[in-house]
Amino acid sequence: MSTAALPVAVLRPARPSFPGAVRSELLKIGRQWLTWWLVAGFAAITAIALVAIVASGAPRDTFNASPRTFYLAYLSGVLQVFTIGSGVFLLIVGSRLVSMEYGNGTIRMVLARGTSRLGLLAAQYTALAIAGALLLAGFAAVATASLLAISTAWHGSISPITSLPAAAWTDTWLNVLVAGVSMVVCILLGTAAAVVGRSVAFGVGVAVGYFPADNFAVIVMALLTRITHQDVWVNATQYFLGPILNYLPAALQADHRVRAAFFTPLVQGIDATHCWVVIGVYSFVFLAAAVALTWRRDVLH
Amino acid sequence: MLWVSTVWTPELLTFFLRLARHKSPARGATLNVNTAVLSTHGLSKQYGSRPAVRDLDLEVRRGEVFGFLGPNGAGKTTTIRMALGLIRPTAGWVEVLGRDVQRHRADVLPRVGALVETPALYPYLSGRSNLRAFAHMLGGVPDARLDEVLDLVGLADRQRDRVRTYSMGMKQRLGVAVALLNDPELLILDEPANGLDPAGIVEMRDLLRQLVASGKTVFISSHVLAEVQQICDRVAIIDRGELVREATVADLVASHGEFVLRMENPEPALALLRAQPWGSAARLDDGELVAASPTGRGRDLVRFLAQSGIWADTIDERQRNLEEIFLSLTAPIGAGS
Repeated sequence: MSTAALPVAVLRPARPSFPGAVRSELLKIGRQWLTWWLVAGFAAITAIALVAIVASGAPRDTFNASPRTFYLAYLSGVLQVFTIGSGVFLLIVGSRLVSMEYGNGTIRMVLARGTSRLGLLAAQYTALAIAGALLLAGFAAVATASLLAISTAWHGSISPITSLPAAAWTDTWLNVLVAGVSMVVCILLGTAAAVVGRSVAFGVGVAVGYFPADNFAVIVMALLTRITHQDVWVNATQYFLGPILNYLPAALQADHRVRAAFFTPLVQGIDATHCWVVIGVYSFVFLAAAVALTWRRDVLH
Repeated sequence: MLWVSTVWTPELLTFFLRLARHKSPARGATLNVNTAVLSTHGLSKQYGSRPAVRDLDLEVRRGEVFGFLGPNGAGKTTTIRMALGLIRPTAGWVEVLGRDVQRHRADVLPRVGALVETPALYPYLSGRSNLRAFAHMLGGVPDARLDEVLDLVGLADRQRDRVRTYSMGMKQRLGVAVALLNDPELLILDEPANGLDPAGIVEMRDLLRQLVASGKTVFISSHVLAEVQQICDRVAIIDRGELVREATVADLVASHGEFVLRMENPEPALALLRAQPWGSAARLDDGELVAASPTGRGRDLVRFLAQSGIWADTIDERQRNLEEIFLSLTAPIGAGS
C-alpha cells in the first residue's frame, strides 16, 4: 500500500502549507545565480555611489558647517541608489520567479498538489517582500556604517550624527518609507507583467522596460506640448508612475529641497496626497491584474 | 528492484507482479476495491467552438491500474488537467477521493501524485533541491523521504547534479519522485513514456511496475499499448473527447469464440467453414485459419474438421491485442466524427 518506510501521517499533511510555499519560493530565489549576480552588482554600484557622494562638491566643508545639511544630501543620494538598485533587482527577480513557473511548466506540478493559485501568488509576493526587506536591511547597514566612517574620518567621532535633531530622524523614516513603497510597486509590477505574459521574456522585458519608458515619456510629452501647444501632454505627466515615484521624496519633505532622480512630472505644485493616490491606483491595477488572471485563467502550460 | 527486469523476462515479471497485487492477503484485507477513487460525471470542456471533452463518465476504483487511451488530441490531457484542478470544466465535475476536486482541491490533491505530460522541473536546481522545493509546498516532507524516493527512482547517485544536466529519462523519473513525495493514494500519470528513448521507456516501465506492485491506484494515459495491456486492470478509450469503450483488459482482449488453427493446407478447410452458417467469418490470417466454432468450444471445431478429413496441427483461442482493439475503436485522423 505504500512506497514509504515513514508513517503515512508524517508524509501526508492535511493541506498545503503557506509558510512552506514561502520557503519554497525563497529557495527558488536563493538558488539562482542571477540573484547573487544582481546582489553583487548592486553592492558594487552602492560602493561607487558612496564614493561619488563623498567626493562630489565640498562635502567635508558642508559636514563641518552643517551636519544636518550633509546628512539630508547623503540620505537623498543613498535613497536614489537604493530605489534604482532594489527596483532592478525586484523587477528582474520577481518577474522571473513568477514567469518561470509558467515557462518551465512547474506551475502545473505545484497546483496539481493542491496549492491554490492565489496561495501560490501570495507566497511569491511574500517571498519577494522578504527578499526586498533583507536587501533594505543590508543596504541600510552599509549606508549607516559608511556614514559613521565618514563622520569619524572628518570629525574624529560620530557625535555630529548622533546629535542630529529629531527632524533628521523623521526624514530618515520618510526615506525608508519611500524605499519600501518603491519596492512594493516594483514587486507588484514585475509580478503583474509575468502573470499577463506567462513567459520569462515577456515578463522580464515589460518589467524592466516599464520605468525607463515612462520616465522617457516625460520628454516625449514635453515635445508634444511644444509641437501642439496643448497642455494636456504636460498635465498627463502627473499621472505617470515612474516620475511620481521619483518626486515622492520631495513631496514628503516639502520643508527642504530634495533632489529628485531622473524625471519628475512637468506640473508644479503636486502634493504628497496626489502622489499617494497615483501610486495607490497603479498598485491596485497591478495587483488586481495579477490576482484576476491567476485566479481565472486555465493552466495550459 | 530494477535489476529484476534484466534477469527475468518481462512476461514473467509482469505475471508475478500482478499475482502479488491481486493475491496478497495484506492488501486484500485493507482495500475496498469497489470504492471510486476518481470519477468524472458528465465532464465536458469546450475551447471556443471546439469541444475537447464531451460528457465523459469514468470511474477508477481503489487499487486498480486504469489505462486511459486515445489518439493524439482525443482529450486525455484535458481530462487529466480537469481532474487535477488545472482547468475548469465547461460542464460536469470530477470527484477525487470522494470529493469534488474544484471545490476541495486543497483537501484532496495533496493525496494525489501527478505527472502531467513532460516532467516540469526547475532546471537550475539539483534533483534533491527540486524535491525539497515541492516538499516545502506540501507542508514539509522529512529528508529521509527525499532519500527514499530518490532511491526508488534510481536517482540517488545524481541527486546533487543540476536537473539541466539530466537526460529525459532521468527527468521523467524525477517527475515521478515528485509525484511520490508524500506517498499519495492515487497516482495520475499522463504519458509517462513521452519523449523517452527506448532505454528510457524500459526504465519507466520498470519503475511503473514497482509502483503497481506497491499497491498504488494508478491512472495512466499512454501510447505504449503493449505496456498498458500488461499492466492495467481496466481501460477507457476516448476519441474526439467522447468515451468509446470502458472495459477490463481481459474482456477487451477475450477471444469472442474465435480460434486460430494451423495446418499444412488451410484452403479446403476455409471453403468448408465458410459454407457453414456459423463459419461465414472464417478467414486466413498470415497463413493461419481463423474461425468460429459451431458450439463455441475448440474441440468441436477440431471434430467438425476431422469429420471431413481435415486435421489441424494446433489450435489456440484467438486473443486480440489492445492495439488492434484501439485502432478499431478510434477513427483515423481526418475521418469525420
